[in-house]
Amino acid sequence: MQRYDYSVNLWMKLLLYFCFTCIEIQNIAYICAMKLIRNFCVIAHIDHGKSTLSDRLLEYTQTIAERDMQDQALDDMDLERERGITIKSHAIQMYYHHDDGQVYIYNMIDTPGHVDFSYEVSRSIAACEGALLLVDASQGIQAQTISNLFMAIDHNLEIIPVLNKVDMESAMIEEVSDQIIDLIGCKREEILLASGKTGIGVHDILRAIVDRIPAPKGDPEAPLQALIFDSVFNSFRGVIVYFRLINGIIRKNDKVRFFHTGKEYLADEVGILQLNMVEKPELQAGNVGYLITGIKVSKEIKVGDTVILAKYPNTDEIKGFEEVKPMVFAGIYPIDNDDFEDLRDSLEKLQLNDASLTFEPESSVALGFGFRCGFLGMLHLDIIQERLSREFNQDVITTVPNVMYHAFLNKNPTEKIVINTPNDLPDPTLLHHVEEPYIHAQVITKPEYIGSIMSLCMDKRGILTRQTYLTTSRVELTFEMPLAEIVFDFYDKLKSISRGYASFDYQPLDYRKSDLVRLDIKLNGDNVDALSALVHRTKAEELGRKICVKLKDLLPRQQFLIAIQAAIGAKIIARETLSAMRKDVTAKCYGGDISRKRKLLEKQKEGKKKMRQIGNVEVPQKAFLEVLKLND
Amino acid sequence: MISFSGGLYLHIPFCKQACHYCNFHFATSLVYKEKLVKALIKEIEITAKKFSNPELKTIYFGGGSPSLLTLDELALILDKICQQFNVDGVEEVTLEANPDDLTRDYLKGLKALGIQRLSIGIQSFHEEDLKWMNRAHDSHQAMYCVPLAQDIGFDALSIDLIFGYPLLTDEKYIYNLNKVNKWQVPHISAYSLTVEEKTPLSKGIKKGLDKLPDEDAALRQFTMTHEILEDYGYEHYEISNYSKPGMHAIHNSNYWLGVPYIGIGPAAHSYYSGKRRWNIANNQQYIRKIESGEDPSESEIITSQITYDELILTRLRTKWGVNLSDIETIGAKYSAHFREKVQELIRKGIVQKSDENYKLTFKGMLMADHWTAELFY
Ligand SMILES: Nc1nc2c(ncn2[C@@H]2O[C@H](COP(=O)(O)OP(=O)(O)OP(=O)(O)O)[C@@H](O)[C@H]2O)c(=O)[nH]1
Ligand code: SF4
Ligand SMILES: [Mg+2]
Repeated sequence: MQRYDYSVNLWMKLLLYFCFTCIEIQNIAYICAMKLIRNFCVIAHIDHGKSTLSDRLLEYTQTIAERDMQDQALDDMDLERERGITIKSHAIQMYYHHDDGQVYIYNMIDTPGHVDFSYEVSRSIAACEGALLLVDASQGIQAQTISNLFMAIDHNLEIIPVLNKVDMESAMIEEVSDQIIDLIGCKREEILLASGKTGIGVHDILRAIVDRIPAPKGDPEAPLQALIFDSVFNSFRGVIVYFRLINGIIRKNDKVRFFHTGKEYLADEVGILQLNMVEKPELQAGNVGYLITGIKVSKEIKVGDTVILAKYPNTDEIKGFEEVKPMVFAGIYPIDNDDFEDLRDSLEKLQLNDASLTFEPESSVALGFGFRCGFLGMLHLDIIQERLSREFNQDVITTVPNVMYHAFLNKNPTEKIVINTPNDLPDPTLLHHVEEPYIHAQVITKPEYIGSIMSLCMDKRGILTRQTYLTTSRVELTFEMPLAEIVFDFYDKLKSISRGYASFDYQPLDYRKSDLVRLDIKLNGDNVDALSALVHRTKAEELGRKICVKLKDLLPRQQFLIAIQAAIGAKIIARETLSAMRKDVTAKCYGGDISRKRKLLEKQKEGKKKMRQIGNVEVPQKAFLEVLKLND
Repeated sequence: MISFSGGLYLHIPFCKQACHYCNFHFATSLVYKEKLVKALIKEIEITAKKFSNPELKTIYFGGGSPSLLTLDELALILDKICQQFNVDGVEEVTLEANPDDLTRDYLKGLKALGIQRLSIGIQSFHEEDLKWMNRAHDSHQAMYCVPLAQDIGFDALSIDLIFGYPLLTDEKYIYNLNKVNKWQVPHISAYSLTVEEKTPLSKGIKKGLDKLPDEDAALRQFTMTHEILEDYGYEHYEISNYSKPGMHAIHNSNYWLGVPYIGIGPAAHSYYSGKRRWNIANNQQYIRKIESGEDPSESEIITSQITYDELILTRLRTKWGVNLSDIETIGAKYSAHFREKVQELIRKGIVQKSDENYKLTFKGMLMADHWTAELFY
């Protein structure tokens, strides 16, 4: 093995740095002993500054050249940049020149903070030995601070607590430090003070990573075992797999095997993840990198699977992370029925990059062929829709979301039937009972909002089980409530009644008996199956009325009167009437009118093309898209 | 250089006051009138020079209110037209006029200048209607301008009427129709009141000060116009136009028949050399552009699809209808599309077919725009 002498004098170092950066880095990565690797992730509640602090770490280690630097550099999706949130975990490698003269390899993963993306966090955690736990000094500990921390502790990660945004005037350094000490039982001196904005504390953090986070353990001599923690689809290269090497070495041109699928491929390319992918001849145990095998079909890859060498087919898999369970289901349909196959293709590719997305084909009378998709929450659904549109040029219609119910029939009340679409709910006469999923919900807030948050949760059929003062000014409320109730407008309501001073987290709890009904929407007596919803009986009328009112707004007037009704079975529970179209007598049309009129009529005609026929009523696509936005 | 043979439209963008329903381009201040006339004259020259020996078939002064031009101003414009265009074949010279401008002297002057045809914006003979519309003329002027014009020798008259507004009862409308018929004017345009965006009328409706036109009354009055005027020997040759046999408006009909036209003046539209153009709808900017030699227009290329859509849009509404062979010249896919789509409309009694010619039935005319859109490609 080649050795590199680090004790050269300063100017030599600089010269080498500027002239031979590539060679240097390549060599380091190639020969680096495991003790020089640190794998860590950055975790926190949403907006506590993970991506901004990551920028500073990348800057300090000169991983990203100054001219390429931009805010939240790792948030490389347009959608992330526009919304200012991280959606995907991002792995990146950097080099840290320690005072001890050694150069360390840091594999950092910036994670998202929103509860809908906690699966991203869990997978990142599985690839690391340590975590930077950030807490916004002006906000204090929030719901996802706690849930992400617990996830990291469960995986035995070394936690480095970082009090972030200390530059802010509203920073409460003492108070929040107390909260952190309370929460993780660390010493005050162990909490690092930092600001991603000004760069305070960055050096301390980089040092602490070497000192506190253990180097990965693994055996480079053992047969290859690499955990796939993420993947992306690239239209030129095919599927790109991101992995964490646990044992062994992976080399270019190795014949590899994916444990679960049992399929074998040639490792066309392996390398490390910097801002771009950097190819390497081989990677060793402990490191994080990527693998390209020329796989074009997304089905052949499963995040969580283990890569082994084909010549050692008996190598064990690594217990990765639990498979994610979708919380919310909705139908996704192509606007144009001819795009069904394209949509399937797009969903498959998206699934590669978002292992939490599930889907299977279904069909609707109103919308034709589409997919029933599972999501982790409403933001997730929203993001998938956006990504389909932006990355795959697929505009889609989404049906009313619902959670997964269990139905039991009279003829065999012990046999569970899984219901994740309204059309699957058996006829009430056959039903013995239905169960709906409950969650454990934690809300962290200020004491002055306890009252209004409690009444919101009661209104959502929640039961308060615990109230704990974390400090005198922070209280944690724990509820048991039906998952279905938080799917729709819970977040927005919580945010507005607490003026933003409430954070929320939840975990699945159990299934409980529920008085569930299917709410149908009818236009002139014809059922619009795409608008059917599963809802608790006590909420049916309100939802039905809202949908009818909204539809009245969204439907264009037609040649005849339209009755818009909401019904449970045969019983109508809400109704609106849309009067017939104005019969405007044709207007004049002279030389100056022709262009304008033509464009107007063309637009009308275009609008009509996008109509779906329900019985004798034409429903614009827009209606399906907009009807669910019941809050505005 | 390319040739031109067709109509000339001049937009005179001034009015005494703004009629409440009107969305034409005009200004109520006359300060720029002199400059504008100069600009029109310059634009006539610039445009004519684009063609080799351009010839005119019709000349039309529209607006706005062309009758606000002095006889001298009109003379300057007409002189320029005759100088720049071959006018030997001109079949019709029309000027839109408002009743309040039509004095005996003015009418005589128009006649002397060679204006052959007047299109008079009477709209209604009822005082309260004219007030509601905010017209500049009163019922007295409405009553007397026609006999006066006829007295001076204008036989080729066209009268504009409006129906479908809240104040107009059927009785009042029948009175208006009878009045026009009594003078035996050869041409009548009858328009259903449309509420255009950004007009005082639409603002009034939004504020609840005005009512929306009653759609049933409008339909009824449209039907009445058709029945009564056909009874009186007028031919319903286009949705809003009626004429005594052979007396249809040539210039306007040419819009529907696809004959090219040059538009001069702010907001004026043109159609020639496979393009539609429209001048900027702002008097000051128009003047500035013309003075500095800039092109005041924007344009759009007419693709085969637009040609088809426009053929349907303009022809179907006329008695001439649309010939399948005309559609076939645009492209086989359009005739196939038309043939397929039109079946349903024939079945519904919206379109009538004789040989390979298609036109709207009376029922189809009621909501021609709606049906037109159905036939678009
Ligand atoms: N004053 C101040 N503002 C900061 C600091 N760090 C981040 N911010 C701001 O806080 C907001 C959120 O920062 P991000 O870095 O995107 O937070 P995040 O934790 O990555 O957010 P998610 O990935 O969506 O969970 C942005 O507006 C940043 O500009 C800091 O140290 N000081
Ligand atoms: S006179 Fe004619 S152009 Fe002028 S405002 Fe009235 S309707 Fe409009
Ligand atoms: Mg982020």
